[in-house]
Amino acid sequence: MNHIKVLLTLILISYVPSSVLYASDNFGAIQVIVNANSDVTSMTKKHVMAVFLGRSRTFPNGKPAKALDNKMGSSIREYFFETLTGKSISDIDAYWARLRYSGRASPPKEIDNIDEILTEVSQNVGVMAYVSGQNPEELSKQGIVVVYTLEAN
Amino acid sequence: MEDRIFARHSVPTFRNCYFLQVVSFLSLLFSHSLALASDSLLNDWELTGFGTLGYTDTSKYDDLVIKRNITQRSKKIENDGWLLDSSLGLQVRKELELEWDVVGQFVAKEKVNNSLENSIEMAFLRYRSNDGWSFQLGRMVLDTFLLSDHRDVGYSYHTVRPQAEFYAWIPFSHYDGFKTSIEFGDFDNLVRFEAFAGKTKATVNIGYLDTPTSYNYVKAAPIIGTGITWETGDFTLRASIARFRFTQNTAANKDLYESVIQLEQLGWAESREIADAYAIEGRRVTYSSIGFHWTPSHWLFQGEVSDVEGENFGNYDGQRAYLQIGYRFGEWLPHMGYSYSRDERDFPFDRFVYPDGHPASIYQPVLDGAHVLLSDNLSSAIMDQRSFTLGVRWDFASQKALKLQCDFATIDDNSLGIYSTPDTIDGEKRNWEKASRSWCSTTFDWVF
Repeated sequence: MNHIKVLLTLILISYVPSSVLYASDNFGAIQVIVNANSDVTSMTKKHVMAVFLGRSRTFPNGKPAKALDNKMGSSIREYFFETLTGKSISDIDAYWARLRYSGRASPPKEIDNIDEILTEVSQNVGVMAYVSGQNPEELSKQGIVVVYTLEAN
Repeated sequence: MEDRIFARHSVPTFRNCYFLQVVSFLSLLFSHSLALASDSLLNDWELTGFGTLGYTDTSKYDDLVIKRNITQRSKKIENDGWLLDSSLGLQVRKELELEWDVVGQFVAKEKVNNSLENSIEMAFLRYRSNDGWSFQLGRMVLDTFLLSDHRDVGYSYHTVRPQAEFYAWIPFSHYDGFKTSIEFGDFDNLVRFEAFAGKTKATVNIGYLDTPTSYNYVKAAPIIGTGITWETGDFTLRASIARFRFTQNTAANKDLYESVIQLEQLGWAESREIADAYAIEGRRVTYSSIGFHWTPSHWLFQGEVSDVEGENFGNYDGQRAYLQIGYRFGEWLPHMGYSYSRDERDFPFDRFVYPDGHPASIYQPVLDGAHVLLSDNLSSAIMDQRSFTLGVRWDFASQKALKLQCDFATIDDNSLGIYSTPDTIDGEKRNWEKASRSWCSTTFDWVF
C-alpha cells in the first residue's frame, strides 16, 4: 500500500485548486442550442434539465439527443447548472460522479471553447449545447437554433 | 484439508477462472462491435478517475479497531490510519456506437485480496436502445443499496464513508454476469426496473487475527436480484431485493468442523450439529432494502432500511437503517446522521452435561470450554451497534472536497461483526462488553 500512498501524494501535488470556481460573472440569459435539422424548435426547462442531467437521451420528437458541456470549472458551466437546477455546482459534480463511476451514465462531453461548441452543434444533428450572448440570426446562418433561453431566477 | 486462502493463489486454469472466460467473451463481442464501428480501437477512450486520501487515528483504542468494510485487514488498518479510507480508482469507457459502450474500472484500496483481478470492479459491454432498454454483460458493481455501486467514490457523497452499520458488512462489491434494465417515464418522472444474475466472490477478514482461518474466501453463485428506482425532481427512491447462495465453506468453517468431530467422540452428539449450523455451503442469504435521496433546495435528506435474512445462524440475519440530514451553505455542507444495525442471531445450543456418575464426566470442563468457544464464535459476526455522525464537507475547488467527520459508535455485548477487537487470543473468548467509542476522520476526495 506504500505505492498507493506515494501515488496519491503525487496526484495531490499535481493539482492546483481551480481559481475560476465560484466566479461571479454575470451571463444574463443562457441559450440552449441545437442543430436546425434536428426538427426541434423549442424545449421546456424540464426537458433541458433531463438531457443535461442524463435522465433523457432523446429530444421531444424522440430522436437521439446528446448534450455537450462547457469546460469543467468554467464560470458559464457553474452559472448554467446552478440556474437550471437550483443546485450548487459541487452537488452537480457529485451527482455526475455517482452516475459515471457506478457505470450508469457518462456526463456530457466537455468542449473547451465556444467556437468548438458552435462547430459541433452546426455539424451534428443529435447534439445539444448551451452558450451565452449569441445573436440568434448569426446562429441561424450556421444552421443552429435556440430552443430554450434560461434566464436568471 | 485444502486451504482456500492459499488455493486461491494457485495458477488459475482457463476452465476454472470464470473472469478470464468473461473477459474472453467480451473480447469477442468487442472485436465484433469494433469491426462494425467506424472509429479505431485506440481513439476516443475516456480515461477518468477518482481518489480519496483519508486519515483516521485507527490505533486510538487498544481494544477495538474501526473498519470501513469487512474485506479490510484489521491489523493493517490498526497499524496505518491512512489505509481506512484511502483509495484510487481509474475508469475507462469507450462509446463504440451510439447504443454500444464498454466500461472498465480499477480500484486500489486496502483489502485482503489485493490481486489485480479482484481490483477490477467493472468490465462490461452494454447495449442501450433509444426506447429505454439496457443490457450489460461482464463484471458490474452491485447496486442493491443506494450507495453500494459508488461507495469507493468518496467525492460522490457527503460523508467520509458510507455508514458502517449499513454498508460495512457487505462482502461483495461486484459480480460477473448479466444485467438488464428498462427505463420509462416523462421528464417529470423516471422509473427504472432492473434485474441481474451472476456469480461473485470476496475474501473477508473475520475478527482481528491474520491466520488462514481469519481470512475467509466466500463465493456465491448464483447471485440474483431485482430493483426499481423512481426519480422525480429532487427525489429518488430505490427498492431492491437480492439473493445469493454460498457455494463453499470457508477455511474457518472447515477448521471448526474438524475440531468438533473430536468433541463428538466424547459423547456430545450435538457438536456436529453446531458445526453444520455454522457452515455456509449451499446456504442462502436474502437482502432487501428501500432507500431515498431527497434534496429540496439546499437541504439534503437520505435514508435507507434493509433486512438481511440468512438460512442458518452462521449467516447474516438482521435489520439495518440510517438517516442523514444536511444543508448546503455555498461551499460548505454540514451534516448529521444516525445509523443502526440489529442482529437477530443467537446461539441456540445448550451446554452438554454428563449424567451423574458418567465415566466420561472427567471431560466436562473440556466440553464446557468448547461450548463457550463455539458460542463465542458467533460474536465475530454479530452486528448490534449504532452510530451518531457529525460532519462537514467543504467543496473548496472544482471537483475537489475536504471532509471532516466524527463518528460516535455504541457497540453492544459480543457484537464484533464490523469492528474487531485485538483482545482475541486464538482459542479463547472475546468477552466484549457494551461500550461506546468515537473516531474523527478527514479525507480529501477528488475526481479527475
